[in-house]
Amino acid sequence: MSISLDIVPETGSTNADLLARLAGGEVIPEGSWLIADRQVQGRGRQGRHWLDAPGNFMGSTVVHGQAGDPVPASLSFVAALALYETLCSHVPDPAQLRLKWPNDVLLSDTKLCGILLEREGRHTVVGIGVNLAKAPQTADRATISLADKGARADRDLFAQDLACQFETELARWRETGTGQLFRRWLAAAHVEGTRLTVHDEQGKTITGSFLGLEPDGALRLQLEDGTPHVVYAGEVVWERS
Amino acid sequence: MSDNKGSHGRKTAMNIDAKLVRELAELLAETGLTEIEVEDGDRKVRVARGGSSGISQLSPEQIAAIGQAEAAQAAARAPVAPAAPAAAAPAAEAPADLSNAVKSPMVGTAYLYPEPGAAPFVRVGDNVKAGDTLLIVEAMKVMNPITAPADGTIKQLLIDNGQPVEYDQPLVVIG
Repeated sequence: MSISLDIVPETGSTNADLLARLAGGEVIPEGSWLIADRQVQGRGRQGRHWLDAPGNFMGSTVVHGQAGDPVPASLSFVAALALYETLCSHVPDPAQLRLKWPNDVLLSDTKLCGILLEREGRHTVVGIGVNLAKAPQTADRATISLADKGARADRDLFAQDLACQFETELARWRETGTGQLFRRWLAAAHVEGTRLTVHDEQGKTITGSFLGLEPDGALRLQLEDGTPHVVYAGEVVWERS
Repeated sequence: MSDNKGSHGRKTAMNIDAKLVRELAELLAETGLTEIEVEDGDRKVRVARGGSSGISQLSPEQIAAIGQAEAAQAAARAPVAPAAPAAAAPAAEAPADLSNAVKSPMVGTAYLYPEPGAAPFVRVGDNVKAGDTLLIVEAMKVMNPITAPADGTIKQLLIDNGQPVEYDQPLVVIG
């Protein structure tokens, strides 16, 4: 697999572009990244917008499902680990980085980046946004950038590092499966016992202690009454004590 | 945790079968099923884990959740796999209505709209073509479009927006 970075000045959404090209039958090799200087309709979960800023990283790549691959949902963890490993070499203090289920990478407990995966047939498009230069202000949550920590990350160099790291993680995922992937993810994530609150799409919230991951990567919580609870989707908020 | 044990040594003389068995074993671990059997002509492969009780059938949708070429072949074979008799279907209230329902290939959260405030992907009465997106199921922040398996008309939407859905749960009836 070789890495190819295709950088465009502006687009609506790099995820949407790759999905449309795949739907149109275009063959996009793994290792290809579409990177935008500006992204005017960046997407997050369920209608959230990913706000861009000049100098930030916004890019997408594709994974083609192959026979024997682990389930596509576990690519969320592949992307998270690739981004985490990349960021470790770009922040002054890697100990300030922490993974949050399923694929957020937090810097000093604050949102630094976003990852959204969208499937098209057997293909999975992986979109990643990272606040390298500037953290867009949002009403509902605190955000941070690498520049806020005094790190000056060149977007193109960061993109190369990320593409290489993603390639490495993808190969590991195919070779060793999800067991090792989840163990490595857990080592960089909120520790067991951390109180997490999950907001679902019907307005309900559930709070519990982090118990680990299910075999398929779902979030395992222990509720206050002691019962176990498994989460497959939702916005996880880390309750800092 | 599932783990691809024995993932080395792919290029053995038994490559095809060994690979298939490994995939099926992994599928068991990933889905929590206890047994999977696939049949292709005179070749039949069965992989079971943790005893023989409680045989679970792998639905075409579950196989499709793996989303790979091999899975697509398996899905085509699925009807010849040991299917439960139709009369024994669990949905006692209206088994006939749901027998052809589009089912969820995974556990997750279903979305009927591309985003809040937007028009739904489909409404009851809409005509759809094979491949049209009916809804999205999110699992682990992966958005999985659920598409129409064939041309038809939307007869029933069986779930609400934002509702958690289970493996194999009927989602949409297309007539």
